[in-house]
Amino acid sequence: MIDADVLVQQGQFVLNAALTGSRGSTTVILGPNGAGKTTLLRALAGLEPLAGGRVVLNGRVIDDVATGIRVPTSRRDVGFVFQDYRLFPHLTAVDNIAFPLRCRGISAARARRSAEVALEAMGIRSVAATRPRALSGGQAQRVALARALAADPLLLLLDEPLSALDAEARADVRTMLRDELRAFAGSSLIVAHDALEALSLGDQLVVIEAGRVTQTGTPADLVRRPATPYVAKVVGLNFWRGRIEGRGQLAIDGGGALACAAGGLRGPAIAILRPSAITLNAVQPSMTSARNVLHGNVISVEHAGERVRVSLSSTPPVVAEVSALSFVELGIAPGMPMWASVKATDIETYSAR
Amino acid sequence: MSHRGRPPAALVAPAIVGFGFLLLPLFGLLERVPWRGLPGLLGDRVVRDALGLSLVTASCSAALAVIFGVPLAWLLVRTEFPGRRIVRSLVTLPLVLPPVVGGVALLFAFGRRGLFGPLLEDLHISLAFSTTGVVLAETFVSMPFLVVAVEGALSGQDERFEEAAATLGAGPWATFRRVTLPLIAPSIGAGAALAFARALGEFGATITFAGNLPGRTQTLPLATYIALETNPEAAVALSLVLLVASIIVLALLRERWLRPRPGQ
Repeated sequence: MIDADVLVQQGQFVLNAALTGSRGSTTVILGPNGAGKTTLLRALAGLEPLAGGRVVLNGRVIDDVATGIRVPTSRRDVGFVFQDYRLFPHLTAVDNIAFPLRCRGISAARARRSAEVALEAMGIRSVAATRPRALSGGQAQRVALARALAADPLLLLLDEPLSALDAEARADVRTMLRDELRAFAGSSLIVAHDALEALSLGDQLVVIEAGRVTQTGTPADLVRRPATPYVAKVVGLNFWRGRIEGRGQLAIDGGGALACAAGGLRGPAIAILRPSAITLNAVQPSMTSARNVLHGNVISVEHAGERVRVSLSSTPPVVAEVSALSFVELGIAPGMPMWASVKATDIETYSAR
Repeated sequence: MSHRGRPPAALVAPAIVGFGFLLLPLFGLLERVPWRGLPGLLGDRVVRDALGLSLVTASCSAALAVIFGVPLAWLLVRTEFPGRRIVRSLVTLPLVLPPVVGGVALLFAFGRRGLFGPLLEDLHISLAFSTTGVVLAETFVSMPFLVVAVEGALSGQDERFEEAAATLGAGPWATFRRVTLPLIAPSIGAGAALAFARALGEFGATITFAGNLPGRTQTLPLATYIALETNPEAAVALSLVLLVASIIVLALLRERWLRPRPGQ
């Protein structure tokens, strides 16, 4: 059980984040580059001094600025799998895993035997005598994880565990990681590299933007009710903030208005829309049942498999998703004027508070 | 290389002169080596004593430099304390200080009439004009070489691995012993070789602090200098021994530099 509230100051940058995680839970930390995700992990591990706040792990206070408690990293029972693995270059794979056991005073022979068992469990027994330099990315990641787990931590921190891997190894390691974390009795905290990683690994997600927590919840919560444009972008939705002023009319911050299914909602609201619910036309549709027709030029085009995402400079701006076939048939290209039709019932709204 | 065209003569000419200046004296030395009489000259008692004494004292100095220099370098790189910059400058001072000044300073610190002389006398320890004094003088001038080499290795090796060790439950001492030390071992070796070479050639501080007593404080450089007046052939033979020792140290250092560095 981890209960943390940390304040870290690094020059101009301030991280102020609180989070909790129960035993056996996996919390994924998601956020744009430079949001302070790694800093948060480092603070929890005691590698970064706190300017304020308190960290409690399984009932033991390991950091408390108010009372001056600061347990050194080596006595925190916090494991860390670094983004660059940091396997000791002078030790073989098996000795890397045996390292935490040796530090605890376990004999070389016994430490090595348990390390070999750990390697066996990860399915990489064959690399026991290999030095880190000669390991593949996937093998190094497994050794790093086995080494962190060998220290028997109460809290396990993983910093973008999949980002240094190629696509093939990534799928493989993701499965391994999910199984290992499920078996792990303590809490784990993962900084995620992309949405798929975040949504597939975590029971709970914490979104950090510019040093602050902007949303917490289950993966389903984030997909259903993104609280910020960043989260909406990660889960691939159009996102607008505005005010509902009666009769399902949303006045959007920054200009424009949309007719939407507002229910009884009034006041500050958020509206989201699936890009695939938007219909694009090369000419102005004269007869349509859609209550919203937006006009703008194509800003950018992004291919994702059989689908194509088209950004329009309309007011408000929208991102539409069309099939590759429609894309070709309509001859969509940047700069081209287009009309987007959106049904009011496809726009979902919820309170911004 | 070809894309840069021919190297300019304004650089090539001085380079050749500089290289020649460094190389020619060695030819002068080698030309005078009495190859046939060499075994006899090197078998001479004075020469054997000086050689043995030099090897022992230079080895002791290199060992002392490692024992005290590695912790010193670690503190200078890995910790923050008031006056760290000043300490750092003082540690490297002997690199540029004339060795004879070092010898005078040692004399007035640890000599019989020096600052700590009475204290040492009470303890029945006499350092000046003894073999121990030779080791002290050599350590004084050679330890900075080791400190600089190890400092370079430590600052080049960022704290990534030390942080990793801490997250695995290693306290500061275990981290140093199990992670830092093995990682900087090649640089310690290089620093020790440099310190050994410097100690082997030490002249000024040694003759000032320890004197020139054959069998006790007369090291190879001292014996060479004395022999130059009495027996020039022996001086050449002794110089040859020192030259060979230097070449061996250089070869060891190249070996270290040519090997890929760990962690890369």
